[in-house]
Amino acid sequence: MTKPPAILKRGLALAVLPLLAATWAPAAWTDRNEYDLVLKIRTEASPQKQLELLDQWKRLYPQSEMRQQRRELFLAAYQASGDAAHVFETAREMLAEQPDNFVGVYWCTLLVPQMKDAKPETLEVGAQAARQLAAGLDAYFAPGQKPGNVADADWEKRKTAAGLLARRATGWVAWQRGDFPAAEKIFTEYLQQDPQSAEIASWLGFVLALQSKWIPGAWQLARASSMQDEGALPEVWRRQMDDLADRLYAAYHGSVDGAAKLKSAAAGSPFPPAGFEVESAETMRQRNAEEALNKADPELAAWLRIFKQLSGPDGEKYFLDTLKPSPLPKLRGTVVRSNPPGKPDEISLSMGSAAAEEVVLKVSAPFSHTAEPGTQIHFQGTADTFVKAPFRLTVLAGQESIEGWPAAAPPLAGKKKE
Amino acid sequence: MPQTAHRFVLLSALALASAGAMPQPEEGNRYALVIGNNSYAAGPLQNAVNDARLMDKALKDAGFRSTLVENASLVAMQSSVGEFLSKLGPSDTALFFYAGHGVQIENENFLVPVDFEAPESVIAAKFRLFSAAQLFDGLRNRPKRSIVILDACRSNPIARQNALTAGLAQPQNSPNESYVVFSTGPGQTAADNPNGRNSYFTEALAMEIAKPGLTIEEVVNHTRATVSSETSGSQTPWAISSLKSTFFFHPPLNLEADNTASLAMKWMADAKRFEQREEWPDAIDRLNQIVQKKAGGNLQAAAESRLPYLTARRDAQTSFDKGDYAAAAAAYARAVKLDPFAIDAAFESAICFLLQEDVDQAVPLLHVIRVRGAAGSTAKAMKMLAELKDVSPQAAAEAGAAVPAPPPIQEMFPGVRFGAPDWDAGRLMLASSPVDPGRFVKDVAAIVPPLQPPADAPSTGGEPSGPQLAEQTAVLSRALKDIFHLEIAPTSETRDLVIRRAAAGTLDTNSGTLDIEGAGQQVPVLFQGRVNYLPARLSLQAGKYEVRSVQDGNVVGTQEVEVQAGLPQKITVKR
Repeated sequence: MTKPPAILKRGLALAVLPLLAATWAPAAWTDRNEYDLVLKIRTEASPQKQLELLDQWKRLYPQSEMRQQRRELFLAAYQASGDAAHVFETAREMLAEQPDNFVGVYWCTLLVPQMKDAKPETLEVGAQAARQLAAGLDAYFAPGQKPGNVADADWEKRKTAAGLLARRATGWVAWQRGDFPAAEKIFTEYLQQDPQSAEIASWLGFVLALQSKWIPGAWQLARASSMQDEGALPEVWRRQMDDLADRLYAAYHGSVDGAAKLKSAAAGSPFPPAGFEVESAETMRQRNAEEALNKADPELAAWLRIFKQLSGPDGEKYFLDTLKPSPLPKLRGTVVRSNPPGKPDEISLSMGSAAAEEVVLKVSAPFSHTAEPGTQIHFQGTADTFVKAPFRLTVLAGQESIEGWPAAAPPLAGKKKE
Repeated sequence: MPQTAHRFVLLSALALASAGAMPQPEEGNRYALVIGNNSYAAGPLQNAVNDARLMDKALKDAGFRSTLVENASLVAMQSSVGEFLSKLGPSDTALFFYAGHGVQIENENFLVPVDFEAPESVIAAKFRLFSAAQLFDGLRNRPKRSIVILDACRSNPIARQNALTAGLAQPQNSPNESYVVFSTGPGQTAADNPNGRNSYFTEALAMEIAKPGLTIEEVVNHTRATVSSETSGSQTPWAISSLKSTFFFHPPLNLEADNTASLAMKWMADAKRFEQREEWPDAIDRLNQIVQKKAGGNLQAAAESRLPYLTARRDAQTSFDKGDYAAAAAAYARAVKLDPFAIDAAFESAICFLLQEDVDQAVPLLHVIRVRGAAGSTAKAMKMLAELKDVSPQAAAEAGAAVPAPPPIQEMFPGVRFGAPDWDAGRLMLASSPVDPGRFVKDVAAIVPPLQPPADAPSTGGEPSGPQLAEQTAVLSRALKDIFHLEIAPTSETRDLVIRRAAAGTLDTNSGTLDIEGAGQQVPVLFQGRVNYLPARLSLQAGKYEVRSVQDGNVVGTQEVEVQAGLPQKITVKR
């Protein structure tokens, strides 16, 4: 076949998708020696020696028309040597020359998390490649691009995998840049699409933990640790994840009690089911504290519960909906003053926090005598009115429900006439 | 002994002997630490990091959980060795590989970190170097077996500049059940191979490690032979062993675990090496392994497409060796059809046809060489055509034709789909070098409190313990957070911490009383996990205490009081 003239070649190249430009026109050898050198590369079995020859080719023919193909051969040799850093670097070179080069896009997207340096420029290369891959999925995986020996269904699967790869890299970059919420969102979306990825579950676990989301983080780490089939993490890492899941759980719950239940559930589901809750250590402590106080001083405990609710933002609502309709528990107060002083039916009480008058006790019938300020009484009654500021709760009570009111002074003793 | 009984005993003995020789599956994990140091201020190396990477890959392929450390400072070497040792269990296999400079001081081996600076004395140097003896000590009694490979015997300016001895000494304290390998003999030095990417030693070692079914002794023996040959006998790797059991990097094929893609990749690499050495049956065997294991993907397709070519080459070789040149010529020609770049096969085929005086069949093969061969091959083909042109018009025509342009690169590498990613290779690369989560585990662990040991059994009565009191006090303090209250706490820096508990009903002569008044009535007072109310009288151990006034969870005032044994104290608290 006659080769098309160069000018026609350039015109055609402009007319087709840039994506395909690299593949349609065979590049020309600079000279026979270049070909001979590449022939040597072809026959060399050792990746190390192939790399030496490729270096030689690059040195002798830096501007070869086959620069990109040479880079692909470099890639293959570095892959065979397991040298991810050089694969990434070579793919980066490919992108520098042709930003939408599929091979470069693929390897930079795939390997950005494998790069140990995580320098900003490395992350940017990975981010750009991932964006290009995500945006170019339809072009890269157009039916015309499908190799003949690949089934349609496999081609579609490969496209889906490429989309996931782009998410993986994008989430990784967000994480390394410290944007944990963005990383969380991306990894969550990934797992919604592919719930069997132990790697992404572990990454999501880390990202959640770094936001102090202990239980969701523990869930993901436990899940990553539980996976044993294809894609499972190495055993030593699984143990690390498992330990860390315990620590996250304990950080929230206060102990590992119940962690086994979480792990078992996480093994079966990528995300906690709706309504899944673990009690926090703080909630437990509060509950224990209330129980302790309730045991030690039930009257004070009862008052503190009421006081806390009434002082809160929904104090009035609590008063009307909860407190007023039901009888109050037994409470204790200290008399601040009684009114009217002689036969009081309105007793102002401080309830424990200070000498402030917090409760006004309205007695159904006046006492026949007064009580000194500082007298401690116990009472039961029903709430009548409430003012938040200054704090004042009015309680109605019958005399019979008040304990500790001092007995009336005995009448003055006189001589009885006989 | 009757003959049958004799035979039975003999068979049993043979069976036992062969059972003993059969490699047994290992227990435990395989861990490796691989360090490569290039960037020395004095005497930088070119290949040590490459060597470390190559070994890291070879060891990962062999099932090691390998950690690669490049250009390590002294601190990095110490910490990575510490982490490495901490992973090892009693049934594990540990492998330490080091490539970089090494020196010996008073017959003790030291590895040189990249931040090594010349000290004032040889003794001071010891503290700036990493001691191999320290590593050996760490390995002793820890894993089941230890393998230490030191490619640290290179020509060494650091040693020269600091009056140290280059090369390594025979170790004095090798771990029990160990195998220690040096890239060259004790006291000798080895070249860094400045013209290559890897040292002779590591390149050969990695290649031997990859071969299935070789014991570690065989691996080192083969490596020794290769290195000695490549260095014209100036470098001879050396090993010392106290292994009690057989160790395989890759078990014999019949013991290999079921198919993995990485295994298939290794077989493919083996097949290529065998092909390059023209060891056709071995190459065929490896590709058959890939096909039989149904490795799938590009590897299986490549194996299937390459097998007919290798078979043709094997058949051609067999026929040629038998002197059956007709069959050889046909088989070579078949091979050239299957791989038009097999220039050597084209020559062999052409020669075999010429031996039978069949010029017409030879000329197309010479054409193939002219089209695809390197310059030397083309020239040789032209010479042959020049000699044949007088007897064959076909040869004359070919000799007179212009030299055709070489084929495009795509034809040369039919297994490579240029412009499209190799998905299988990507999958394998992720599988062989997953992202190590160690750093992230540390990041998260740094912000999460460590797990506390389980609490003791609940108290069955009596006084609560110190921690229980503290917890109880803390609980009550939180419960009273919103209301004004007092908290009494000993100030430990001056307080006698020896607390003597008084027997019931007796006066504790070490205690005194503290009366607290003021701040209104019924103000809660927290002490020792209990609530009292003002005015309160507390019985306290002699010592200094702080009375804290707490409002809305904040300490709004403090007073100090010293309680003396047997004496009442009194303080008034203001709100």
